[in-house]
Amino acid sequence: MYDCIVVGGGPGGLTAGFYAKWLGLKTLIITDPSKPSSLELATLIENYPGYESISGKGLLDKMRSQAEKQEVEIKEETVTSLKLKKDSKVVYTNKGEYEAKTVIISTGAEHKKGGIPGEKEFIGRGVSYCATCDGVFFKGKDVIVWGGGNTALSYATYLQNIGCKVTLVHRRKDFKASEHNVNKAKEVGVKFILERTLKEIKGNKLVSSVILDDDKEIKASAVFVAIGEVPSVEIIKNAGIKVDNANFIIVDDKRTQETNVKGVYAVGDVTNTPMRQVIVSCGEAAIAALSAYKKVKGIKEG
Amino acid sequence: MVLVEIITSEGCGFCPIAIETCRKVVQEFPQVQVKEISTSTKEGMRKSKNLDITTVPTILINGEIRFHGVPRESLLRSAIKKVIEEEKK
Repeated sequence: MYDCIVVGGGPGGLTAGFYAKWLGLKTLIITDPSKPSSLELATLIENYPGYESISGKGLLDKMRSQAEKQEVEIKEETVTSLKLKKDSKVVYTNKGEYEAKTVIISTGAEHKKGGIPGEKEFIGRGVSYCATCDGVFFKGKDVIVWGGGNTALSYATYLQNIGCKVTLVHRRKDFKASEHNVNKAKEVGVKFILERTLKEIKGNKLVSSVILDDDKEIKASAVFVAIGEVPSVEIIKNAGIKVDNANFIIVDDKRTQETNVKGVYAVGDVTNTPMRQVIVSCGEAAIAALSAYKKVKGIKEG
Repeated sequence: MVLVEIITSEGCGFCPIAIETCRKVVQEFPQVQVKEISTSTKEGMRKSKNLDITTVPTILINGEIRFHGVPRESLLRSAIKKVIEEEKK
């Protein structure tokens, strides 16, 4: 039996695994090989202390390498269900089952879809959710970035920098993104259409334009959708872990990161955290690992 | 011979998963080869332009687009089998 199983191989999962092992717990990280971490798809990370500027993939590679040096056991398997009892937590995967005294969940969140006409139809033909993956195809072309958070603003800056002509469409006047990211997009020449949203994506074989909610049509060869994130929580909900209205795991006690199920902790983007940032995931992961350690060793909180 | 080509880009987190999936499935077919083509190469950009490819990973079988994104192993296996059958005719 493991002391701690960490579900998820993004920054939160790797940090939790690293810390749990460092604290002396018999630890296993299970990471889904079919789902890359959103950090892996991030353009540039400039707000993680110690690195003035590093690619998302570069930072994740360093975290994984650090966990591997600590000799944390990592299995690339897909979790199919969880059975969470008081003294035993069983994690079922597509390849087997693993028992632990504690579980830390760090399964992250996925890109939210806009659900407008044309979006689904043009995926792979101009609609994209990953600027670093697909930006290269649209150099010199007009592209739309849809959203107002840090992902949207960093996508816009990245795309403009590689030679796309970017217009960012955001439904509000103010941004959820940091001032730093907004200013950077402005500096590189991104155009802004504010207090508007997309109503439809049009095209023939490929995307050719978008329709805004004031019915204005704008020429565009691509639409990069970055309007937020949704966690995948079916397995989590089925296991009896409480989630909020938006499906994020409820973690009320930030001193422990414990969920409503004793001995089960959650960290990072999958939770109702007030700030979805790499450093927050890592910080929460360290706290969760310590909580797991206390639980395993029978040390009371306080 | 059947050729499975994977169009990839440097910043693509799904591309290594697609490459691994293709390599794994292709092991079952001795007459099938796999080739990774990055958009950072002239060949990658030319092929993408000619075939209107605008997303990665994209999987081609004998030059035709078959999948956008990471294909399910079962679907990729069926697609390869179909092409092999067609070649026999």
